[in-house]
Amino acid sequence: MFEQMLIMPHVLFGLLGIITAVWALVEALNAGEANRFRLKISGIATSVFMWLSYLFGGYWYVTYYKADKAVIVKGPMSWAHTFGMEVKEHIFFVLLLLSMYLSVVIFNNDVSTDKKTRNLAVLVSVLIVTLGLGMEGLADLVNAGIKLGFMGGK
Amino acid sequence: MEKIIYEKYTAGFGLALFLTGILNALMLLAKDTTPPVMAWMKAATGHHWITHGVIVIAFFGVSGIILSKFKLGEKLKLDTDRIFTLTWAGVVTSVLITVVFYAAFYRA
Repeated sequence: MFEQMLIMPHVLFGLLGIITAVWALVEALNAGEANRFRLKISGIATSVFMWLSYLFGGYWYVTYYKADKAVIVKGPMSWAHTFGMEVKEHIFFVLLLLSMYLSVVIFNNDVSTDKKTRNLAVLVSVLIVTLGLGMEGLADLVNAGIKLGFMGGK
Repeated sequence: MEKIIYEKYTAGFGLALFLTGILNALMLLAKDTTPPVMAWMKAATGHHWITHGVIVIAFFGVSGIILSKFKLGEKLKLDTDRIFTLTWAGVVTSVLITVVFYAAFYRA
């Protein structure tokens, strides 16, 4: 039971990372003197949450996923692993790098006065949200593969 | 129109993000098509994905610091528009290579 629950922090922190990236997007779009502190907090929170999601998810993947993988590949949706999980585990690295780069952009530039830097912060935030939602979709695909695997393909 | 050169960390880590995105895609092609590469990556840390992550994150950090320290963004005349383009192009290329490879060519 405890082992199964270890996947929950991965999901939770991933969702929090997406939410704080949306927050950073809104702050960047409205960047000014008044919200400079909030923009920095949202940027650093996105990076921290994505790192926590990576560490918890990575531990679970390396330690426990092997059993799930065996069920998926024997089931009717084997591509949930060969496509879904493979894509998810590799694109996540790009998401992690983007979350760190968001903080680099926000902390080293005055986003409130430079429109082009603001556009870069907006772009990075949008990419994080898009890839983050993609991760959620791929996770659902993997879960469907496990369920159908246990049901014997019916 | 005047081009604004990015401050060194934004340009350096922007270029590092582009390079690391491509490296990430090339590494998965290499390990999933070349068994000796996969075997080495498994042996290095006990799991290929851990090795993959260590290399990707270390490359991003080290190359970002080096590119920033030597102000390569400025030397390569990476203005705001070019960093913007490099960012989305690097991400889209990495994602496309990954998705197309596993969708069309790779069968476990």
